[in-house]
Amino acid sequence: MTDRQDKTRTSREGEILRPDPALGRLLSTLDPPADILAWSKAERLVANAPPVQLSWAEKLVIGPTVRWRYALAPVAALLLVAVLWIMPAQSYQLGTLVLTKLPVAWEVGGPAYQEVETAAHEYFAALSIPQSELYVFVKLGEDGEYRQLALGLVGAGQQQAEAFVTTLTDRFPVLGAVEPQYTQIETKLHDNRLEELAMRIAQRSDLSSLDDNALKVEVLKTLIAAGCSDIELAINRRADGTVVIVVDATMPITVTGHTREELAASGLNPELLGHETFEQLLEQVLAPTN
Amino acid sequence: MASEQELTNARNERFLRLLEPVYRDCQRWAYNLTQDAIEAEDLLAQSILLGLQNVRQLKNDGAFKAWMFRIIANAFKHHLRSKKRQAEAVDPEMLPRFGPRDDRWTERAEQADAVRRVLMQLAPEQRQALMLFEVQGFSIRETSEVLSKKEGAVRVLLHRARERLAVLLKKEGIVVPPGGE
Repeated sequence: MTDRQDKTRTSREGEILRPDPALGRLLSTLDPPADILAWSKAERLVANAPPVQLSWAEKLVIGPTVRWRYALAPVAALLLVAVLWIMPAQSYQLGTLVLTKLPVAWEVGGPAYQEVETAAHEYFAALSIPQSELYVFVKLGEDGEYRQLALGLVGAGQQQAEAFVTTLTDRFPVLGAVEPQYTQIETKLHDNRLEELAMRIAQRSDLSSLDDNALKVEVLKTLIAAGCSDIELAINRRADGTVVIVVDATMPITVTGHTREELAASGLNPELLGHETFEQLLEQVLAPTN
Repeated sequence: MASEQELTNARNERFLRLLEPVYRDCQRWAYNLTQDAIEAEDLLAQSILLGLQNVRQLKNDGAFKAWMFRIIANAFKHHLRSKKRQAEAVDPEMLPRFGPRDDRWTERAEQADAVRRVLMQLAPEQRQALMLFEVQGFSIRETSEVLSKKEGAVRVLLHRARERLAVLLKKEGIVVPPGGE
C-alpha cells in the first residue's frame, strides 16, 4: 500500500508525526543474525502443505464423478420441488446481508467510514435493482472483539451482493482483506408460531393495508437498522384481523457512549429500542463500573 | 472445472508469488517479535502455513503484506498465550550477547547489540509499533491494522517509544543524528 498521507497527522500531543529516517536507519541495523527460514525452506513448506480444503458445495461440482452428479441433478431438483410442494411453510428471500471486518482504525462516522458509506450507496444505486434498498451499519463480531461492517442489501441476491462487494473492495482494498460473509435474508410463513409483535411496526397506522411481503420488508428494515442478523420472520393473520409478526433474530448491541446523546448518535434511541428498554440501557451505561 | 490438485497448485503458486517480494520483511518482523532466531523460524513457518490456508479469502493482492504481518502478529500472540509467557520488558543484563566480545567486533555490531538491548527495554507494543512505522515503512493506518489498535493509540505508542528510546540511547552513548524529515 502507498498510503503515507496520514503520517502528517498530529499526535495526541499536537506534534507532527512522520517517520524519522535516522531512527529508521539505526533500527534497521537489527537484522536477524541468521537467515531465518531460508526462502528455499519456505518453498518446500508450501509445496508439502495440505491441499486445498473444498467445501461440500465445491465438491459437488469438482472431481472425477462430476458427470454423474450433473446427471443426478435433475432428479434431485424434482425431489426438491416435491418436498417444497408438501411443506407447510413458504420461504421468501428478501435480500442479502454482507458482513466484513471493519478496520480497527476506522471511527464510525469518521471520514473513512463516511467515504465508504457514500460509495456503497452510489454503487448499490448503480445496480438498479427494482424495489431495493441498502443499509450500512456497524455491529460487533461474534467474539465481541472486533466490529463488523454490515451491508444489508434488501432485494439483492447473493450474486448481486458479491458483484457489489467486489466493486466496493476494489476501491477500498482493506475491506477485502478478510473474506466477507454472505447471509441470505429469508422469511418463512407459518401458521402456528405466536411470539412478539415488533413494536415499531405495530404502531404503523397502515399496518392492516400492507400485504405479507410488504410487511416483511418493513419489519426487516427495522431489524437490519437495529443491527440484527440471522433474521427469520413469520407472519400470522388471525381471523379477527390481528396480525402477529414473529421475529427470531440475533441483536448485538454495541454501547460506545456514556450519555443519552452519545447512545442516540450510535443508533440506540427510544424509537428503536422502546422507551423502557432504552432507559434501562441508559441506567446500565451510567452505573458505576466497580 | 479445476480439480483439487489444480486448485492447490494455483493456491501455492499465488501465495509464493505474493510472499517472495515481502519475505525479507516477514523474516525481520518475525525476528522483531520474538528476538530469537529459532523462535522466529518456528513463528514464520507456522504463519506461512496459516497464510497458505487462508489466502483464498484474500481478495486484494495489494493488501498482502499487511495481511501477512497481521497473521504473524496474531500467531505470536497465540504463541505467547500458549507458553503463558509475560510479554514484559526484559532486564537488559539478562539478555544474550551476540557474537564474541573481542577486538574483532566492529563498531557497527557493538552498536547493533546496544540498540537491541535498548529496544528490549521498551514495552513490546512500543517496540512493534516503532519497527512497523520506522523500519517497515507502514503508515499509521497500516500499523494500527497490523497491531489491531486505533490510530490514536498507535500515535501515542510511537510518541512514547521515541521519547523513551531517546533517553535509553543517550545512556548507552548512542547519538541519533537529526532525522531530516
